[in-house]
Amino acid sequence: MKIVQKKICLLGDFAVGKTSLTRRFVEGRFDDKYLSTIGVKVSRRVIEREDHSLNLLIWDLVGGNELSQRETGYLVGTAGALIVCDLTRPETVETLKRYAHHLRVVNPEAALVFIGNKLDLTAERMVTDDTLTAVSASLQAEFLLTSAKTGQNVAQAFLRLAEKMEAR
Amino acid sequence: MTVAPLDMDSLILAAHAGKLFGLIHRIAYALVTSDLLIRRASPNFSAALAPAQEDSCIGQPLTNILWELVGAEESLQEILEGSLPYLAFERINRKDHDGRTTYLDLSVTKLDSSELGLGLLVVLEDVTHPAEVEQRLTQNRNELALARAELLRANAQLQRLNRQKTLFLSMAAHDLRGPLSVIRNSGDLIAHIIPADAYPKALHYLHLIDFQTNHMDWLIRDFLDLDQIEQGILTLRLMETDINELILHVVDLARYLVERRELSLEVKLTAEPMRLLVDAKRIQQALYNLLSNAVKFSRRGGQIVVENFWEGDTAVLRICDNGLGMTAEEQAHAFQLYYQGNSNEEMQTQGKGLGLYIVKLLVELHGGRIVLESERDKGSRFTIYLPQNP
Repeated sequence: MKIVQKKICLLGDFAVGKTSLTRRFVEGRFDDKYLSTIGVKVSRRVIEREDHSLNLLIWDLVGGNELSQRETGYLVGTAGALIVCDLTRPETVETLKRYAHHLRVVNPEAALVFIGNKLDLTAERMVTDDTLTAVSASLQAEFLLTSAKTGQNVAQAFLRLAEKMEAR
Repeated sequence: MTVAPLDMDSLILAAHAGKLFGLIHRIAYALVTSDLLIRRASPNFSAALAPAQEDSCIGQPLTNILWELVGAEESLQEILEGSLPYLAFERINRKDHDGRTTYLDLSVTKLDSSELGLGLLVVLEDVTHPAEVEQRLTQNRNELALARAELLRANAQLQRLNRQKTLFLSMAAHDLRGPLSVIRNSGDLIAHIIPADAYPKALHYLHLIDFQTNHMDWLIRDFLDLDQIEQGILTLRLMETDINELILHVVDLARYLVERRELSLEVKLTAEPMRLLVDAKRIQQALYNLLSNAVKFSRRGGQIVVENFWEGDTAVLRICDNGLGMTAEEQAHAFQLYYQGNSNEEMQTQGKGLGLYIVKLLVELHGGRIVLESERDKGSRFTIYLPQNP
């Protein structure tokens, strides 16, 4: 069967849960301990389609407020990105547009899905759906609310991005 | 012991050789054909990438072994064509035999070899040691940033709660004013009706009512002021005022308190009127707070001195007592809102921790400052410094 390989990146500020989302999607588990990523960790997950296998190469990138030249280099060849914010930290929403801009400078055709993560922390949530709707609408992308801890909507977010990439 | 030049050279050479060996050990390489198949690799190349499958990479597509290059095929083609000098990915995370994270720097450059023809040189450098240091620094920085953000959020929440509390206090204080006024006026009326020499006990109780309603009135004013101060809407009505007259008025207001505690009160004023541009009501309030504090924390028969004088262009207003005094710990917190030192308990007074906080703010609103000097069991000295022109 034909194998199609696509590179996707997870972008967003530090501690928004990029590594946890990747781990949940690839390994099906969650670890509460926060360990900062430096550089990049590439994981793989194959999605079986009717007529082909889609091999997703998931780039879990270092989180930071500014993408350095090193991090911008990681975006080469990216077909799509999940841009993640933390629903309990409003400041992580403000940078979503900047990450989208960085990505589109390197690859204007890349598909985008925004993610508001840590949906399980209901009492601490400070980012509203309206805020995320406004940001994602301004960049003509959609958003999903996820919880890497419970797994809610995590697979859906990756699969939605995969659909968007394959539709291009 | 002397070292011959030749021996030193040998040592230096050995050190360089050691460094070179270390470098060679950390660096792995692979030669890749123009159709992106691995043709040759250093023995440590596969081990660096896939520890369990050593020597399994020869003949494999490059992107099967280095999946970090998936998506970068276009860039690799550009390197082969000479339009892109190199491609580099730093700090690639991989796992070793024991599941420990290792870090690799990857670079790809063009290779023009007689054996391979046109191809690519892929170099991997194991940078685990410096990357681990970088990871720890990043971890600490991020944790600090998270803790700071958490503190800021908690602080904002506390401020909101504080605002709600002050609003509640201010509303309650406002509502208390009406009934308090009725109580005071009724007391005054009774005092006028009863003949002074007929019911001395009744008059004593009326005095008590008057004193306590006045005290409550001051408390209510403090709460209302606090609300205005916290909202930043407390404004001063400045007018030229004779501070001497103000001090005498405050002393008069506090005379009942002073006499009740059998204290001696000495007033030392400047010979000439001390004229200052101040909000008379607010300075009177500050002085009364300080004087009533001095009374509260004086033992029966104690001594209080109120004085004023000039220090250059600065007016100095001072209230001293030889009462209970404060410890260094109490002094450090004396001007904090709602702070009540041990002295309150010791003297069985009913301070709310508002007075000194408000005094300090009122003095500072006038462009002045207040200094507290105190010693436990020897007394306290509060000095207000006010500029002649605020």
